[in-house]
Amino acid sequence: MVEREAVVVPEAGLHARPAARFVKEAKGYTSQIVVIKGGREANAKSSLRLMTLGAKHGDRVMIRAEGEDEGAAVDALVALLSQEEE
Amino acid sequence: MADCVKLYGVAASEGIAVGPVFVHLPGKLKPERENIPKDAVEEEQRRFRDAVETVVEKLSETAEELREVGSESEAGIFEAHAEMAEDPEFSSEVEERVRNLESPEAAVISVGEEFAGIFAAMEDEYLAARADDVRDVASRIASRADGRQDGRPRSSGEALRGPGS
Repeated sequence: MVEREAVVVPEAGLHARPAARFVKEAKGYTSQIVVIKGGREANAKSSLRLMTLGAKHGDRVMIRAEGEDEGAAVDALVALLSQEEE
Repeated sequence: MADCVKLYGVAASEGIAVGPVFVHLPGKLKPERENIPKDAVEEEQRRFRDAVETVVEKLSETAEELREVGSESEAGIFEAHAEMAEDPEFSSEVEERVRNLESPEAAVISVGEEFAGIFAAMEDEYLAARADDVRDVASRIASRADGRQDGRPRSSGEALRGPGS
C-alpha cells in the first residue's frame, strides 16, 4: 500500500472536468485507488464519488493505492493534482 | 417569415448559432417500468450495459465534433458527462438494484437522483450545479435502457455549435 498527501492545485478543485481527467488517469492503473478528504474516502475511478468529496483548490487530500502498480499510480495522480489545469 | 417567433432566454455561450431547436423539458423522468421478472435479470443487466455503452459513445462523439470546430471547453463538458455515464460506482449501484428486480430505467433514475441529491446539498455552488448534469446523464441512459427508441434528439450537438461551424 502506498499513500501520499497532495494539495489540490487546479483552480476549479476536483470538479467535473478536472475530476474527469483525474479518473481517466486513475483508470490506467490496475491498483485500487482511493482519495481521502476529511475522513471520507472516494473511489479514484469514479468521478461522481470524487466530486462528492468537494475537494477545492488548496485543500489537502490523501491518495492511497493498493495493487501491482500502486507506486506509479500515486506518483502520477499526485503530479496531476499538483499542476494547473491546461 | 410569417411564422417568426421570438424567444427570450439566457445565453449559454457567446456567439450566434444556427440549427434545429429542441425543447428540453426537465423534470422528473418517469420510468417506463418499475419492476422486472426474476428470469429477466441477466437480459436487463445487458440492456443497461448496452445503454451505457451507447450513451458514452454518443457523448464522446459529440465531444469530438465540438473539439474539431474549436469548442474546447464545451467538448470538456461532454467528456465529463461521458465519464459520469461510465462511472463504475454508478453502474454497480444500478446493477445491484436490477438484481433486486428493479427495472434498469427505474434503477438508473433512482441512482441518478441519489447523486443529484448529494450534489444539490453541497455548499459549493459549482458542485451543486452538477446535480443537473447527473440527472441529464441518468435520463439519457434510462431512456435507452427501457427498450424503446431513444426519444432524445440525436443532433442536439448541432444546436450547440457556434458561428463558423
